[in-house]
Amino acid sequence: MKIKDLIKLSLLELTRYKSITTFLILNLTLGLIGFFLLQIFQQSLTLQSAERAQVALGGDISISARRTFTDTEVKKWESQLKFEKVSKFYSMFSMLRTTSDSRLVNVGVFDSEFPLYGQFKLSDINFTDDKPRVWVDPEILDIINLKIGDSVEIGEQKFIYSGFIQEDPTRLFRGATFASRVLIHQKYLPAAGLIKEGSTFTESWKYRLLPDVDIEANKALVEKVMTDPVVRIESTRDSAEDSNRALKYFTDYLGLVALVALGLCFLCGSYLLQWTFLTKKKTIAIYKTLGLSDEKIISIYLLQNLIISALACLLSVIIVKGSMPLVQSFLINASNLPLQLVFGFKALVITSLIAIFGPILIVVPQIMQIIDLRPLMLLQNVDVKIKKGISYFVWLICTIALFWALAFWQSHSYKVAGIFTGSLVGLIIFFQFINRIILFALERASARFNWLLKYSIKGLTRKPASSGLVFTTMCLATLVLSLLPHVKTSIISEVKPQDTAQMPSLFMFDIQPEQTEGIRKAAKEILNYELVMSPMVRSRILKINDKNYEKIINTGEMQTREADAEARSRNRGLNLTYRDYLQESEMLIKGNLQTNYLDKNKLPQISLEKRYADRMNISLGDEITFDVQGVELVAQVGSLRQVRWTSFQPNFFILFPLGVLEDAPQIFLASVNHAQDSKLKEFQLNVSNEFKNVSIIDISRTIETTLKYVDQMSIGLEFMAWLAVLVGLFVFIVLLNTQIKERLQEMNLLQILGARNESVYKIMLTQFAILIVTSITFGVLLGLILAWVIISFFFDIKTVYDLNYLLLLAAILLPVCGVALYFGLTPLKKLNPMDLIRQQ
Amino acid sequence: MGLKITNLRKTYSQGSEKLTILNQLNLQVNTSEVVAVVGASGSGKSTFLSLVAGLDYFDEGDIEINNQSIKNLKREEMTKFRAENIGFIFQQFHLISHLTAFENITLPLEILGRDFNDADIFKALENVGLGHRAKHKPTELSGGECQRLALARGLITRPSLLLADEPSGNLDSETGEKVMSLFFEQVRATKTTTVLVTHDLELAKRCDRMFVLKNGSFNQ
Repeated sequence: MKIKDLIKLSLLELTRYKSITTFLILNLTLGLIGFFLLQIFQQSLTLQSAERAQVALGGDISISARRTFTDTEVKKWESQLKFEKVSKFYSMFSMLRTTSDSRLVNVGVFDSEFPLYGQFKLSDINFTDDKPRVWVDPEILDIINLKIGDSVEIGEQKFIYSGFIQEDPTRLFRGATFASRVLIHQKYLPAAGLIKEGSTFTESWKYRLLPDVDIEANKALVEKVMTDPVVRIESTRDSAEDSNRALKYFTDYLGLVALVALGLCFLCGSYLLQWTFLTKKKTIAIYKTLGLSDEKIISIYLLQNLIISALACLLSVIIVKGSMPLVQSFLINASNLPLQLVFGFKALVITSLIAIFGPILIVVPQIMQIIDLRPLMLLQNVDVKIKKGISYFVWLICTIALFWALAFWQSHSYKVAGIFTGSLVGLIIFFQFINRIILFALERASARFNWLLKYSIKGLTRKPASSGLVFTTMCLATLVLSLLPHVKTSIISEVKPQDTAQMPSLFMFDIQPEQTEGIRKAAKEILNYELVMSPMVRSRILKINDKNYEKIINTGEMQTREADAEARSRNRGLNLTYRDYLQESEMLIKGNLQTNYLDKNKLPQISLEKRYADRMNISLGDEITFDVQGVELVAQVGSLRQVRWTSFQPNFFILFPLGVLEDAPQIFLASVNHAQDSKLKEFQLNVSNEFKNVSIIDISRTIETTLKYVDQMSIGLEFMAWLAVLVGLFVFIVLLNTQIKERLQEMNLLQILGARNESVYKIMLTQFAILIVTSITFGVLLGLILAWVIISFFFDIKTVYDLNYLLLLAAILLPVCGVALYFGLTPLKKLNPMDLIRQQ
Repeated sequence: MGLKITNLRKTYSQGSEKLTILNQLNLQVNTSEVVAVVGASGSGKSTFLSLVAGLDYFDEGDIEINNQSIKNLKREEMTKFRAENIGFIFQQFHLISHLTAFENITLPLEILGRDFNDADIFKALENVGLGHRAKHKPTELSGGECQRLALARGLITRPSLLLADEPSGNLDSETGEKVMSLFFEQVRATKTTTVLVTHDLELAKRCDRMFVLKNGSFNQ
């Protein structure tokens, strides 16, 4: 038999089972759409991050730290670099003040070489140092009414408002920032007095290297001479990987939800293939009898799959390509993300590979059955069942392993991929188990029911594979869908509680020691409020239990999220505080809190935030060596605390007792709880005029920004979750269709035995209604439980359920299933029992 | 009278043409009598069975089962009448695959809403030699066992009329012979009026009377 004949036979088989072929194509298409869209999004993001890497970084290499560099340090690294231009840039938080208002802003301080790459688009006046000028993000204009030439104050300097930033090439996606950016020239930085002892700022040196210079080699040379872990040395490659980190993390999780849809679609595909195999096994036996070898029959099977994959791929390409302008407009208008979606070749190849190899993988059990199928067995009317021997389990393990690999590739995290795959497999097993229990209970109870109900239940209990598939897919899909809104509602409720009296209104930082009294006084006079100042001491960890706390340098192409988080965490400086009590937002969960350090022969006992300690693998009794601005200090972990970060109080990872850090260079933080807006505004203006370096965050505005961000993120996740539900519904329709086809003869027989047409209709209706109601109810219930687990243990906040959403979910899903049932059961209205006699 | 068919006529439309399948068909089967209907393929045997079972409507004539005409019965009335008065045995058994042998037998009784006790069902199973197979599903039974189960199901409601369509057609000769012996034994023991449609003349000869369906009517 030639390849041409094999193709012909494959096509013949596909056209013979038109509805199944259509179902298989649509099923795979549905699974691929979300995955494909996400690939396009990810590839576009990576591509544009890479394209903008130089611009985003502001040079080929950037060297930065949250401190000033000495001339010796600069000379040291510059001796290693082959550069043609250098630009120095500062960024810090400060208050922008007008006569009537003040806002926290992120001040970018540029020099005359700025930017080394890319072009800013400014509304009115270009960057210049002729006068003290300020350019602002357009969002600031929503809060403060500014006209060109208006005077504003930043620190101790007056600046002229010179326009807003129309396009900032250094930032693709702004995300949730609690302070918009303003730009000023470095010439006016000393006069503004923004850098003082203890101030928090970042100093960056950006270099444009000579053409044809190896950037990575130059970076390695700098790393050799700059060993201080707080110094961050970044190349354009790091910048490409680093930029839009939050967005990349988000797309990782989005990818996992897309994988749920894909997994469901493969589960459904697997059922359809098995169903088709059972209806085709006679034909296969005939092929075998006619002398067609197993290899050729398998080739026909694989060819059919390939054709289905190709058609599904083509369909998903058409749909995705067609919907791209819509997604693009959504990204720009609703999400404020100016990402240009590119229909990339790589995304197409990856999706095609999934489309081809996924179905090949799921067809393996049928291939095993083809090999086992003996024509004689068929003549003896013996059912061929899949032998669940070693090879079957090897296949199953390989499938799970491949799915894990796919999840890892999506999430860039062994841990997340492991938890995700494990949970998914666990949930599928759990759902099958629950389905059996529900059906078992129903069958036991059915003895008391009328025959219709009894028969309907038996139809489910005696066909556990098909009923289990509908139950599992609908459960999983509704679980994903019902889980997300509760997480969102809980986060919203946590950051925006109903009882706002408990929330601080303002948060102040960068308070110098000599300013504390003055600010306390102002709070007392204007707000009648006793302000509590929290000291903050900058430090970094040198050793943990005498083990060097080394800097991990990113050298590989593929960095896992865990390694990435650890590297960032280790390279970051650390803020310490000291006090002799726990705040309302803190709770001691292990050990004893040392309030005063009195016995100088022993080490001071510090308290660590529990999750920070877990992440850093630090436990009670461990010794930590800190570098507190040049002075080495050893402390022992004496207790672990739980911290409610969303309290917006000055919270810290590490708390020292009194008597250790008092003499270290420090600044202070404070929060103000006060509800009266006019007094708050007066206080804010007073502090920002009197103490110009102090930064004040308006908490309510920050909450609004955060919520907007949460909203934008949740839209994407909910879209993917709805796609999973769509796949679930599709599985339901497929099952309905195949079950009706499979059971037409049975229904005809029931009519011959005396059942009314209406009764037969009711049997199928009851069966699928039971499946739908139980699976949706169980999926939603499990969604509620899982939401509680995730919210309580992962986010560590109070769970607030969105009951309106549950009603909406029921209001959408149940009628949709009802309509699907109504149309799906239509063939039952045209039953013809005579068919049973005619087919004899 | 077990079954009385008078001047039965059935036509089908095929495009603009009208095909007469049964024409002036008459038949009288006495209560408890076992008759055979034989005929070549396409002679109208299936149409005949469908009409007697009340699954299709006839153009002219009448059918009386147990002295009750089914001519004017509405669809729902016919369904009820069929459940109460007619038993079926098919060539391909047509058992419900997900029900056990026991449940397959009780199904017609449950549809009718008749009470039953398990002992009666076991007795019916034992009558066809399947007392030990009560909990088995049809997929676990041999062809002969399936047909015996179908026989037990056909008789469980004590129908006035049993319609058997080639009951041994799907079985090998030895098994077929055993099943048919059991069939005759049971229908005679229960005195059930029976119409057996078959190709097998030897089998037909074992019936009380034989009718040949040719050109739309019977020749005895």
